[in-house]
Amino acid sequence: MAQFAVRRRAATGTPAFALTGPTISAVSFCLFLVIWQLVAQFVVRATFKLPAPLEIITGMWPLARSGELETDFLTSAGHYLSGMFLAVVIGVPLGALTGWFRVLDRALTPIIELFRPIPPIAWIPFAIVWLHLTDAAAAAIIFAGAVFPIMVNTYTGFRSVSKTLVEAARLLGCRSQTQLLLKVAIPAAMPYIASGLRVGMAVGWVSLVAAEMFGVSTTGLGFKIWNYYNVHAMELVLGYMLLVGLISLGVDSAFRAVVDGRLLRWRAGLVN
Amino acid sequence: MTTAFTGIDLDVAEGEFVCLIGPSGCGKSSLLRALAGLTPPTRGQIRIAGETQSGPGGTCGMVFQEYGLFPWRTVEGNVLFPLEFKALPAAERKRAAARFIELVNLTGFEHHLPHEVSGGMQQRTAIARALANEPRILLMDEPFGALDAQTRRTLQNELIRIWQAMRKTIVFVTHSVSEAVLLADRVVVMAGAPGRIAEIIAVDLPRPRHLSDPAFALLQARALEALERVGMASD
Repeated sequence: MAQFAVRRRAATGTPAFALTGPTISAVSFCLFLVIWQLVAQFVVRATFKLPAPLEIITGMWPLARSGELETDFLTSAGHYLSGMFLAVVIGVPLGALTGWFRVLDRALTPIIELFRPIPPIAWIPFAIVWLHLTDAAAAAIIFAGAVFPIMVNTYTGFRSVSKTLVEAARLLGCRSQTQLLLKVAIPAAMPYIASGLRVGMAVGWVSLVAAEMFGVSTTGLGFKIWNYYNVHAMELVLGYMLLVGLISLGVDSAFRAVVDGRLLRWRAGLVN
Repeated sequence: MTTAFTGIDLDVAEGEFVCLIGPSGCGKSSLLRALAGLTPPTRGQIRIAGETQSGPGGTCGMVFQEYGLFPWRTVEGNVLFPLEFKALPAAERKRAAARFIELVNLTGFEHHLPHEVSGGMQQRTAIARALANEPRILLMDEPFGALDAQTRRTLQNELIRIWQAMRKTIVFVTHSVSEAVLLADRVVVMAGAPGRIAEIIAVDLPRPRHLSDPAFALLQARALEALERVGMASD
């Protein structure tokens, strides 16, 4: 904290202790934890209703040590990655084709639009019917959640390719549809595809937890949330909830750093 | 369906610099696009060097008012684009791109992205890119319209320099009468709705041309008069 304050002073000549951005966030967060602990410990005094931060840590620690957290994380990660992989492999090409070729748009979009608004967890019954209580069923729910945002954003990306760019490309020797797709449409649509992936990843993660909670799986982070509720270990429920949130945050930040920071540098000039 | 232009009968000699001027909606951009092969004519033919044009080919290069650069490619990347469709080894392509970048005075900016350079530099990149495809004709659709007056003057001079070096045939659409008289060998005044050629004014002045030259002013006045006759009030 001190180093941030000192840097500010050296730069602008303000008094020694100055509140900078990261300092404010850190202080606020610590304050939040302290208030939470105090309220839980002295006001509510019932772990069932409001677990305290310290209780969460003491509750979760043995699970971390025994490897249970690790197993749950790996199970969930497995479901998530397989579901996401399918969502990308099907969603991006489908979005691209319907966005680029009007005929396919007219043919396929009404059907897609029929299924798109269905919440991913509504697919759980059929996932169980078709795939039984397997990892495949969990992955299917994640797929159902992630594929639509990916598809829709990809579609928009391909529809939004500037006509001028296409014309310029054709005049510069880019003749076939394949070449146009590879050299113009895909790069132009990248920001939208990235957007779709980000949203898809978030929705997929949410769907994962729901799927695992509804018994599609017997291990995994979502499953444990429901499981520990059943034995009234609410501090563990909250612990797993926060873990789910943190993982999502971490993955999203990493995605943004890699994609927005490097691959889509060129977008800085268009969307500030 | 409205007729954009009709009864256009225009011969452009090789290496000639022709400017099209006219009121908004007179079909000059449509004519340019037809020449490029982007919108084929509903009746009649476009013939370039005796061959009928049937679609966008390598014969015409185009420079747009909004530049049309690929924002995900650097300056060099944009100029390399047309070269990637030719059967050349990579090193040869880079050398060729470097030549065109030097031609438009952008050496040193190869690795900048379009959004990192000014409008004038973006347009120069677009010109280099169009020329890299080695078209027979360079079509320019109000290319300097989005630039400030200073940059515009600079680019006009640059364009004349490049044209004199490469002797490309140029068909240039503009709203500005002074720009037309400054650049062209012939100024084609178009009337609108539907578009047709109203008058062709030959500009016999030697280059470099000066706006202060009385002969220049005379020709500019002639062109303005012609425009007024076809219904365009101002420059």
